[in-house]
Amino acid sequence: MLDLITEPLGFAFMQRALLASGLAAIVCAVVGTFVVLKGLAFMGDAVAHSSLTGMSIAFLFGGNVFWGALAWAVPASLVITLISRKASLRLDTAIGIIFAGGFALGIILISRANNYTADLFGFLFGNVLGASWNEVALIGIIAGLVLLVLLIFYKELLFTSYDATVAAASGIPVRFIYYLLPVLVAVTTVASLKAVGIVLVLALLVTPAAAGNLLARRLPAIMATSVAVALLSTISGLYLSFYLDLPSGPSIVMVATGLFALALVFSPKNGIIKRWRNAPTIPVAQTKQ
Amino acid sequence: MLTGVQVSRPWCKVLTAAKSAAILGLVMLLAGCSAPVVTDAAPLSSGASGFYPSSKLSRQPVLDVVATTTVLADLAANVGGDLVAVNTLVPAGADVHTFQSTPADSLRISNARVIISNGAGLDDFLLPVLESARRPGSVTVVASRGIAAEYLVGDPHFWLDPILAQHYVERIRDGLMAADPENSPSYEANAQRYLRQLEELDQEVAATLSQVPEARRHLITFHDAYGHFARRYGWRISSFVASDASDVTPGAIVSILKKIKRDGIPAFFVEPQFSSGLMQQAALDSGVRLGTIRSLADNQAGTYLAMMRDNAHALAANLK
Repeated sequence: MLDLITEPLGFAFMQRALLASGLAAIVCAVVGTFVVLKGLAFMGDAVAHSSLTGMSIAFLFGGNVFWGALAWAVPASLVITLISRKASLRLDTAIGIIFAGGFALGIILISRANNYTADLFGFLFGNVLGASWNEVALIGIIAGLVLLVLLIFYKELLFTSYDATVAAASGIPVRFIYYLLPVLVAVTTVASLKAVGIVLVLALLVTPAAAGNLLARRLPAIMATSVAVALLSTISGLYLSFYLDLPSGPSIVMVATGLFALALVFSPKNGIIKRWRNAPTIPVAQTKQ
Repeated sequence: MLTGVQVSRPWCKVLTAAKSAAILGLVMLLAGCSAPVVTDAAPLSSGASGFYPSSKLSRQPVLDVVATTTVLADLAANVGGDLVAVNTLVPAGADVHTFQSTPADSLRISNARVIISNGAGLDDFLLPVLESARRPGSVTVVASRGIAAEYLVGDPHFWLDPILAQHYVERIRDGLMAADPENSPSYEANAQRYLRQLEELDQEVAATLSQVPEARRHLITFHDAYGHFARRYGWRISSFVASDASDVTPGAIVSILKKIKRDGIPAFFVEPQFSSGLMQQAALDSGVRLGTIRSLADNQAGTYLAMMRDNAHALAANLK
């Protein structure tokens, strides 16, 4: 029995995969809690897809694909927020524009990289089994930085998430928080691309946090539950993929989806789902001011 | 083998820019009002298709041929000689699996009198594009069609076996003769000569590979393309993924790590069109070398013959 747990750990690629996806899952779950509260789920998806452009540019110029994605994703998240706030468009509209525009540009750039092409599938689906120790360290550093920023601005994020008007009245720099959160989402998303790729990164950002939302009431408890669900998903997803010979990223996502389904069914009915529906989760960002 | 002359004119750049901006209408308009412009611009506008540039400038009436891959284009150029101008759809160095065609590709297809594809699943996704763009009366050659049933095992990379490549050459020869019966004797003579070269290539590759001790005759690659090659020369093969880069499983890595340990295999082989991060990591972990092997001709190994010789030498050098 113990062998079942230790055998995969005997392989360096599994150690790195567990660390890389575990670190990504933790930071995704924490940031995801705010994402779910504020209805920013597709912000993460848009940022991930449009970061294909940054990856392609980095690839064409022989740079590091990760930094290319990051350098593109952060401005993209700010532009989405800016468009939705200044152009009187709904957030989902702004997201749709940047999502498709960035992804299309990325595909055009990749198709122009004739020599030793960027491997499109590699970008789209990621491959945590190919993570290097450097990449693990990088994901760890970024996860640490994001969590640090969250800790520093925890109170502001909390108030702004639940009631922006009151938060603004009590002197919290609401506008700054509006732009801070998308940037955190962008950085988190890019850090997680190695683990699950562009197409599936949304699942790490949203699914554990949604389960946490169903199972716990207060924000710190929601966060802790989300992190637990996320870690359980990545670890058991990787083990399943090891023993059943399945692709790793999709296995992680399927376990997370299953855990969410369990939470949906077994969460204490009294108040939790109701609260989830009735709490002021209608995101302020979507309300025109 | 580079045939013809590279054309470079400022307005070609304009056309390229227009296409990059996806102004499809403009391209179509140019096609409608001045066909020669588009024909000449074709090699430039698709980056690496300068690989087999059109030899239109020679004023000699040539047979326009479009091939889906660089290897098919090279075989066609050898059979056709000066009588044909060959264009490649999937550029050198690109991955066939993720190729997306452009309007300029469709223009080249519509100019072609012979269209050569591999078939057997490799480039079949291009068939609708080929079919919708091709001019009436053009000859289509599916190079792998007619290969003996014993070889049809789900691996479409038949050409990596020089003897099966001979089948390709025969089909391409027949296609060129059907489209241009006048020059049949030339095509026949060229094909005869090239078939002999393939014969020699087969013996040469076998000789090179025989330098590798039997226990190490095991080719480990990223994608599963070398089944026919391995079968011809009595090698074993293992790959990290069955078809494309999206489905590596831990099990595949573990099984390869176990095999290299058991047999003392000293090298993996990466293909340039796939990202090699995963294999680099696996090689680092297990202390084996990384060699390069190709399934398509590219800028480093410009012809089919050169690519096959390079592959054999890479295998011998890294495994013996």
